Amino acid sequence: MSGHHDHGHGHGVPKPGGSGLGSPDAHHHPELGFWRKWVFSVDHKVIGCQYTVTALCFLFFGFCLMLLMRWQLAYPNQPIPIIGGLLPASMANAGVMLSDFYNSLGAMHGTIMVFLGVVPLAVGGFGNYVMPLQIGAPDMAFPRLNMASYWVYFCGGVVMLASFFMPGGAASSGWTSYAPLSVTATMGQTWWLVGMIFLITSSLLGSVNFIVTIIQLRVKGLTFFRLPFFVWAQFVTAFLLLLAFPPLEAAGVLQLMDRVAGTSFFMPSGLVISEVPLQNAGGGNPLLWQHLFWFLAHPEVYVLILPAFGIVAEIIAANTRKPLWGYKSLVYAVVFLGFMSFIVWAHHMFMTGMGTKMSNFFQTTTMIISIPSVVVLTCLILSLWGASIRFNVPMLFALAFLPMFAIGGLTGLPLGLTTSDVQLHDTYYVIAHFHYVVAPGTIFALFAGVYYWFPKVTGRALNETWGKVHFWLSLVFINGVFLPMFVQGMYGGHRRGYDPMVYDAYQQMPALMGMVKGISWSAWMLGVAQIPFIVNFIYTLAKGRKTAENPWQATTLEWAAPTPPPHGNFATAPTVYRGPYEYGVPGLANDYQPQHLA
Amino acid sequence: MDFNLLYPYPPNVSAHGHQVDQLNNVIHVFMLVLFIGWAIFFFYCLVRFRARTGHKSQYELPHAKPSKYLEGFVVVFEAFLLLVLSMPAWSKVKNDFPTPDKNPLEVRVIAQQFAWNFHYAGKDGKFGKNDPKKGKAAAGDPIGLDRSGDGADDIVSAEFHFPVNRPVIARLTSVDVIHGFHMPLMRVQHDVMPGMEVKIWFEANKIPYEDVLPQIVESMISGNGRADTTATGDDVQLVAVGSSVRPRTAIIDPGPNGKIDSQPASGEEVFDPRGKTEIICAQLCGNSHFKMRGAVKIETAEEFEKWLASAVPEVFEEE
Repeated sequence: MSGHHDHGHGHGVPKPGGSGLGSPDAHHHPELGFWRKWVFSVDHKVIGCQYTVTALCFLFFGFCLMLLMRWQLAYPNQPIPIIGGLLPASMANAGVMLSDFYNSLGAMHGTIMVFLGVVPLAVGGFGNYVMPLQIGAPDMAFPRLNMASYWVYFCGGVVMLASFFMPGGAASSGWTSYAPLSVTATMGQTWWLVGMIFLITSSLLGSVNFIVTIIQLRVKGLTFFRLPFFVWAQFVTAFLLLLAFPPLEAAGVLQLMDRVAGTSFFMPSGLVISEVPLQNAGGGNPLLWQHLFWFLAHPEVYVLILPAFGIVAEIIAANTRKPLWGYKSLVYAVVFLGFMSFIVWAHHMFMTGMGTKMSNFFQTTTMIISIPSVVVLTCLILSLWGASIRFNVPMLFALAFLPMFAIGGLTGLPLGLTTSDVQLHDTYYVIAHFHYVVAPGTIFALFAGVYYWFPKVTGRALNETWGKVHFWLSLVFINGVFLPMFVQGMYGGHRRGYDPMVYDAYQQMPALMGMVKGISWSAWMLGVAQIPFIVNFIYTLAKGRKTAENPWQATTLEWAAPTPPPHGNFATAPTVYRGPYEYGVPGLANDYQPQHLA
Repeated sequence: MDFNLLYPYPPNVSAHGHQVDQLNNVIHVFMLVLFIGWAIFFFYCLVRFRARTGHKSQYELPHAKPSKYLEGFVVVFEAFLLLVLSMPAWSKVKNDFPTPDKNPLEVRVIAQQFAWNFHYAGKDGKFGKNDPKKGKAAAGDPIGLDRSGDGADDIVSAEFHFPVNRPVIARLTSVDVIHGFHMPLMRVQHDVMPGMEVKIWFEANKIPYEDVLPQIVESMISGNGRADTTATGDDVQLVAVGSSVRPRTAIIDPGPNGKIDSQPASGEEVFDPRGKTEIICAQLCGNSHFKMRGAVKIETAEEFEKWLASAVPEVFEEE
């Protein structure tokens, strides 16, 4: 640790806003009690861990909702084994899932996975823990705001979970909550909206904090083009959250008003529900909701994928033992992606009747946005050329991310062109497409990140063998789930159908129904494949093998901090002398040159 | 419907559908080429550059011009997909509505939870006014049609009949929530929005049939997949859609809510496998969304006129 000299300026980094971070000096943090240390902590690392554990629990919960749905799809109208008998009459009849409950599961699966699982894990968890370390900062710029954003997120999660116990069950109008269906839905929808307002608020607080931290708290020598790519990814992501979420927050409040205050922002006049005229003001427009929703929800896709790019880039660089190919191209590509992601949203709405002027604009922007995605993927794959690849568990997940994301990205093309979308819109093809991006894509990257940074966080390394079991089983079964869905969708199999057997395609083609069963079994096996991970995670926390401070021999600053890093992170603020990926530099004894060593 | 990985779509019976399928085929071939190319390079790297004793990574970056060519190729090809295949086909479908000389059939499609209603103008060619607030499905009037004036001879059906080889203009609207009008065999999909009426058009150029009863099908087909409708001398192409394991009575029974169904009761005996396809509701619309299927019957011009004529009196009988 010869870098720990000359650090006066490290403590002189700006602390905007008198944020309440006591002394920035790592040495003088007083010993905190249990509540301030582990529950209401202002330490970015504790908050990062809180986010990570909460989000992993939500990911598992959201995944289980889908496992239940898969039973109804594979064995329509048959009682769910074991669990069916335990469900109350509002959810199941003699063990057979009710269609209302199925719709709730669908809506809540989407909501939980996106807003309570992946984003909090990718941004709140990894972003919070790793980003300040990678820029050499003692903490986030606004530690109390950071704590607030976690607890607001937590409240949102509690509200979402509580909505399952509302009369009529949880929200059941899809994760997209299209009006008028959502406005006229049962009580659960009101709770969904309240929950969303909490979650959006949390993301907004977090995004401001991230932006200020990255701009202001970089240590000496850490110029923008010396930032690890992960920090760039988080930086762009924070801007997306900051700029895209407010319209949805507004839309959520408006829909809430439509439900509880008798307004009609999204409700046209003259609606008749089940032959009863609806008593409402009218004059609203259901398309307005869709525009506001997708104005967030498309950038949201990039909120899901950019941190994954960041994690994968870090792991590939460390495990190829060479610099990333095209670091600057990667940076420009994600900045461009972030910008473009704001002007593609209406490609989710090609079937709503927009004129050709508008649809031509949006299909053109959609084709344009695929280019930087190709650039990112190409850079990451070309980084393998001339490498010396170590196949450890984080690297396996990171490598698998590449072809999985490629499938997810490519299959966006036929959906982004109006003429091909006409047949694929709202079918299982769409489900397969975005799951390839988010599940074997982003979630694999998140797993990679968990295995990669676990030694830094805990000082113990996850078991490699069980990690490999987890990886290979997950890879096989997750493809067993999503690959057949493309075919299902091309034959016209629609999403959100409670009972596939009512449709012609499944009636006339037994192979298609066989596929549905195969998907369900793959999904359940995918659930089983997570057991090694869960056991490994808990066992390692208690008894895992202890590791060195820099077990991957990586170059970025988080590995220069003590393991696990104390409150305040660095004993003395490091100084940065070079770019983030100086691996395999010729003429050195080590094959890597950390950023902070002179 | 046959399971065929090289052509994994439902049979196409529409005039424009081949453009949709063609674009999907071209894109998927392009995707496969790109993906396989990437995959070969990827696995080659994994093997050739695996860590092993005596092997070192190269710090100096190889000049990778090929990536520029690849990105250039992707840009050019996507522009081709967009400008040559997608935009023209879409503009035609969206904008080039059939002119009156093509004698398009105009139908109002009124969606509600969880049924489709098809409103035909009748002999006078004029639609009567309807008021959804007055709709009573149980009384045989799901859309609240005003039977005085233009509406006197209108036909409201739960089954969508339209003739082959004649353009159809469908005016889509919904009385309650958003529905999705998807006829997979017709390559037609459009959202059905409450509070607005959206016009779409399409034209069938083939008649699908369920090859469930070979002897009937055989009697219909003269020669190679063509129905001989001797009365008009028309020659109409037929497309097999496979056999359904659904109980057949479910198809020919009158629909729920006592809606008018053109099938006579005797239809059970002379089950006609021709023309049957479905509308799928493509937008989540409530707890019975999955059941919101519409029966579609694509017919020869003669059959369609016959149905139209037979459908009118039934309405008046129920009045």
